[in-house]
Amino acid sequence: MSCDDIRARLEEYFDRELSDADAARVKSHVADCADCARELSELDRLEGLLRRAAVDSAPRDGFVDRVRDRARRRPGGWHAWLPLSLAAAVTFAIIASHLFAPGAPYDLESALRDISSPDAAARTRAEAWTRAHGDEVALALVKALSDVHVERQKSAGLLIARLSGDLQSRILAQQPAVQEEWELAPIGSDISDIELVGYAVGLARSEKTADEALRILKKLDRGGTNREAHEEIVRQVGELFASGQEAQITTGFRIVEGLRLLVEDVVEFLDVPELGDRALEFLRGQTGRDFGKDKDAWRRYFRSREM
Amino acid sequence: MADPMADAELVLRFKQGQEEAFDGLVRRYMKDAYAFCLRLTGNAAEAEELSQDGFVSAYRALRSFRGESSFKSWLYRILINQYRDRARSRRREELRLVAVRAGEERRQELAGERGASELHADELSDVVKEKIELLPDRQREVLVLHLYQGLDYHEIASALGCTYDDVKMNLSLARKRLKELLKEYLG
Repeated sequence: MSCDDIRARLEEYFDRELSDADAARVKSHVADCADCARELSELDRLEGLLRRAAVDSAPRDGFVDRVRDRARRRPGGWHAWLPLSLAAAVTFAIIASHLFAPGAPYDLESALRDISSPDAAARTRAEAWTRAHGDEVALALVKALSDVHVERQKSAGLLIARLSGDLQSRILAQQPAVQEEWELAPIGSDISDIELVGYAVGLARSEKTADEALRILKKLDRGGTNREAHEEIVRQVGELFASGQEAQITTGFRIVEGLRLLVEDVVEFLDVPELGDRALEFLRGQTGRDFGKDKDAWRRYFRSREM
Repeated sequence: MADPMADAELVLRFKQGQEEAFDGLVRRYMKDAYAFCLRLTGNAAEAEELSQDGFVSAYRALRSFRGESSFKSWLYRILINQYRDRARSRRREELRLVAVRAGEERRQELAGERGASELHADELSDVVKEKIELLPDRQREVLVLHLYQGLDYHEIASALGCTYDDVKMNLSLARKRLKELLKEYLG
């Protein structure tokens, strides 16, 4: 192995990331090469200096209790004052009375629950109810899109996605009235975020709802930090491009343009026969640069921009 | 170093309804989580709040945790996302940098009087902390997770939602930059 090969792996060697075989190769090279040995010893000196800034501190006493209290506190007023088991019993009683009381009114809560039900009849009922009452509950529906519980976001999304375009637009027009920021499920339970991607991409197909869709996709992507959702968006955009249908391809580019961070992903389409020209035109327009269809050159350019 | 099997066991017990299993996870990681948050925020009160928030979020999401990464990586990922959400305001970031630079100038005056090599150990530690603060976010996160939290490249990739190569590159860039920033102390 040359010095360049070794240098490329020296930090991994230092950090004990290499396999035994690779580590042995680096070790034997370093034993005979003064330059690489010096590089390694510089790494060691830097590490020693940086370790001086290690923080050896612990949170205040009672941390576990404080976390426990907060974690198990039930959201919402009086629930917090009840012992857990009693709160559960009261909640159940309320749900049960709602579910089983004869003639219990069907409302938005029922529709949000039913639209995610495995029972097709329940889903149909939820859709029909929302078609009939969508205008009355528009604000509540939009708020549910931003609910802290991602299941409710998803249900609201499913309900809205099944409505006619006009009603969808009227409902989404309520958006400015909702001031709260979107709050997504905590990272780690992002399977639900992924499901929302499909809904948002669906909305992006219509001119009327495209802005709203992009807003949702940006939130889901979280500036590229939510990798699962990001990958799902890229996958779905890829599908739009692969469809070969003009309208879908336009939607794809609309999403890419709106999300900016996805711009570099268009590089991957440069060598797709039906898409290459349009992808190149798009990249030129977005960046003001032109590397032709040389994917590596484009990748290098985007990487250098990240620095 | 925590036994990953024991983490998985605690997660499983929690999912089966044994709430106290979560306390075990908090006890195991509270010191690491707090130190990490302290490093990110530079402020004890914020670190306490951020680490508490992280555990509370973990508690609420643990039932849907699929175990594709280790609990530890997953927890760091939650912490880092919460930190990013909070730090979204660039103003705060700018204030932090202004404070860092002011500290730097003060120290340069001192160093001018006594010579760099005569800095006291705790002053040197402050210098190192401040230089780390000057790194771009991603480089700083990777370095801190690696150097002070003891995560390996794969664990960091999982915590930050990036690839092994991203970790390698960012760690290397962080070191190059710090080598430059700290050259007078490296001898």
